Amino acid sequence: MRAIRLSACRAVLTVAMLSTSLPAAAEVNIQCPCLLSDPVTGKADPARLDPAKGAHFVGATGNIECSYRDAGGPHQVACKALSAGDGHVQMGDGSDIYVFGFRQVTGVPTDQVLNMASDPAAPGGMRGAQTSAPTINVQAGQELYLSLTNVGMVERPDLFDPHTVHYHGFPNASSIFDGEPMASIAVNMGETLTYYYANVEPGTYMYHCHVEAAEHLQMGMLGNLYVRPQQDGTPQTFGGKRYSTFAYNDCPTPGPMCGSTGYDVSYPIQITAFDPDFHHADNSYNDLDFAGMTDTYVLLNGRGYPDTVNPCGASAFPAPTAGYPACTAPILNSLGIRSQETSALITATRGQKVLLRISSLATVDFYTLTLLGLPMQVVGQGARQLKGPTGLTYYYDTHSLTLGGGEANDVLIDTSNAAPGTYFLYASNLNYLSNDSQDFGGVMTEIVVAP
Amino acid sequence: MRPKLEGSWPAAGLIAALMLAATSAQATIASDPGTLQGTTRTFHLTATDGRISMGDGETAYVWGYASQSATPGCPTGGCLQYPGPTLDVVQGERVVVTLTNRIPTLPGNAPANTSLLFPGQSATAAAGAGVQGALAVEARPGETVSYSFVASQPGTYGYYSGTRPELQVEMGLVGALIVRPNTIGQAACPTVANPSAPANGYAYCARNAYYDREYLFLFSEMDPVFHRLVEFGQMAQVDDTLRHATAWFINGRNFPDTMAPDFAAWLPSQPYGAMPMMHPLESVLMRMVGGGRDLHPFHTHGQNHLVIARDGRLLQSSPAAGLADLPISDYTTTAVPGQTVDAIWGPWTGQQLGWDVYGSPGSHACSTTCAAPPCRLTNLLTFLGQTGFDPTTGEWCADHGRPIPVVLPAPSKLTFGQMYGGSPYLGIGGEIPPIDPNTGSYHSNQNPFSGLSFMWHSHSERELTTNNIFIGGLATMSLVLPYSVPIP
Repeated sequence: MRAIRLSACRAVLTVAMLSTSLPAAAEVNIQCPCLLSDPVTGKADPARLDPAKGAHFVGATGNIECSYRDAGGPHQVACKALSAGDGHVQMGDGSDIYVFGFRQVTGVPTDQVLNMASDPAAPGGMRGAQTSAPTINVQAGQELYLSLTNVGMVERPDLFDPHTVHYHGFPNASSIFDGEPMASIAVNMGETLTYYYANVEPGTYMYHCHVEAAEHLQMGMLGNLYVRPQQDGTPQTFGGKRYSTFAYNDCPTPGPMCGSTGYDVSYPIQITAFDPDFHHADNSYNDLDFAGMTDTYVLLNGRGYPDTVNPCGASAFPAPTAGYPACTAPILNSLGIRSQETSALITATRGQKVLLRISSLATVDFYTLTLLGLPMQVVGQGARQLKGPTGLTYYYDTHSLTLGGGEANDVLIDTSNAAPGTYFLYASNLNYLSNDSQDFGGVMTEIVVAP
Repeated sequence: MRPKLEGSWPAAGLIAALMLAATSAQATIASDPGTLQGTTRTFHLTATDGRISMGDGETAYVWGYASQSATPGCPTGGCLQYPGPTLDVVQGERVVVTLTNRIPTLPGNAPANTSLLFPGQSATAAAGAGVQGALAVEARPGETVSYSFVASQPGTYGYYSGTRPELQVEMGLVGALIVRPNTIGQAACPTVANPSAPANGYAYCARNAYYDREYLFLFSEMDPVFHRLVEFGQMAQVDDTLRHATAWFINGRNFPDTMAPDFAAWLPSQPYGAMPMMHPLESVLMRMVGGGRDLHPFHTHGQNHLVIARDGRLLQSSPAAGLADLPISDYTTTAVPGQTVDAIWGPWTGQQLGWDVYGSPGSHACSTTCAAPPCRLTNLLTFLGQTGFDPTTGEWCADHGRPIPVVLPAPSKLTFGQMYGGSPYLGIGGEIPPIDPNTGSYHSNQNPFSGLSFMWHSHSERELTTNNIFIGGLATMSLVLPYSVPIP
């Protein structure tokens, strides 16, 4: 193994160093219209949801959501809080890898966000990176207040890296919330920046930190992001079946393609990849070899097979003050933290239509995903329905999809004629079916069709 | 985190200002018009050698094309450039390209023949001295061969060496060819008067092929080891199985040189910039050419681009459709070796941001009718079918006066980028700490007109480096400027 373990004593030392390098006036400041202010500090208090706005935590999205009306009109709001820092994840072969990443801290009290994620009593975001990052899931029409707190790199106290969120694909963006640091602002250690996005276009996007992008993406600061259409909840019948959830607003006016993006269950699947040598170089204060980057852990939602099919984390986000629910075999990193909470296991009951939101944030290579035994119908690309200006739709059937970094497709899988059983979605670049040097792993997951 | 490229920023310096100052007469893609006689357009190219500058400060030995045509950067003609001159022709013209082989045979190297390929053009004829090679008639050292074809279909194309192309294209013998439609003004492509962008036009005669401004994006990459082997007379040692690119280019430049203007004096062999600039509501045609051998997922920040054509053919169900009715809207399009793509980015409108992107309430007015002539956007808005905008400023009035919904942290809590305009607002600056508290380096504002800037780059993020220096490589910054700032 080429892993260079961080000695325990150095870890303690680095923690001590970090605590001195945070600005004295570090200020976690979550901005969210669904929250009431703390009467003393005047800052929004994540523990005080505003009942007048119907504010509540939504387990399915991990958001605090509310609605209200003001001089500007009605507002549907979703709030999410993330921390950005470092941590560890476990690969499919059992190796521990040092990463940078985001962690969900929605609803965590502001004076707790800068705690260690491993703090048993009051966990925060520090040294708690998750990959894939917590999925961002909102509905078109919702305004997203996304608060990013930079909790620093505990194991790299020599780094003063700011962080950002780049909402990749956001239409008609402004620079200020784009997250690309050259054209914009990035948040320093110990501080919070709240991004604002009025979500208009439904579709499959992705997000990542854009600071020193070649490094921070390779190091794992990336996750799924998708926007559900306003049409959800208005049933449409297509192909003899009635749907109330859709990939896109496919029925702006009545017509034969109304409901054609309807689905019963949906899963985000994100391809990412790690070069362990790069990660170890970063963890051990060495120069980084960008040109030599060679990814040998290729992952779906931050996991290599067989971890991809571990159902732990597949369910809803835990409530802010609760830990992740008990699970048969959670994926624990070397710090004892559940760091990969986006399962890639896909389950459906025969007859259901499955929507896969497939994206790639790999930093080096293109990957081709192949599905054996079930047809894939591609209905969207780049957060747009495959539909032209004259109304023509050009969905296509395929058993393979090739994605480079920053690309995404929406894929429907109809299980009506599928025999119950297990189907495999995997990279047909077959050399990537491995977890580093361990064969039989890597880019593969299962679609389990129940009778 | 390291190594970082701090030092080269001043060299690239004052980018927007320079871009705007270096107007030249050209209000469109910097290109080579050749010589037109009747309906025959002739270009005289010489394949020769020279050096280019890379984003990390190194130089590289290259082979490239030199055109006889004079340019603002090469008044006498005959200057090697990477990529080769962008041949600019009109649909229906007969195109003649003569190629003279002046690639020197350096001591230790075998003599190199060379030739030209024009993918996408049918029936290329060759004449003159030369020998038949595997793919084309080749010019031996010192010889001249001419190639001709009729540019029958509009679009964006590439051209490159057809002799040992795996080495010669890597060495730099590659360029772009633009064929402009000869049908502008027909019903499918009505002329649109836009006083802010008089060089507007169509990539194809199709309503959704309209653009206000056009930019070339020729993507390539380089393994400097190959170039050194050729330079030092060890061409026989070049082993393609060992090729490992470490530098990535747009129009022959690495970031941040991509942002320097066309014909920048300090890049004499790399005359083509790649910094798209536009006003709100203006559309940008991206003429993308895969000029290397690797795939590059090219991502446009800011919004999707609409792919309307591939390899010089509209994405349409039938020619009778009158427009690209099978376009692909995407935020990332893969540049494929040897393939070309035409895409329209925009218009960027600022619509539905949820706040007034033109600044604080009361600082300006917004009226969807012509309240403050000259109302320069009336034609454009009508053509685009857009309503709800101020026809003079381009502001979307529904968000007028809405404050930005969040409080931005104090400057001491933030790090500011060189292309940050100083405020969240278009055309309005602000205070930026003069010294970055993180790095201790001086802040250098490269965006003096406070445009909104968006990076366009390869999303194989490894390619944002030049010979292992971050940041560099296959990236540029686009810039949306307020109407008060004219764009050449």
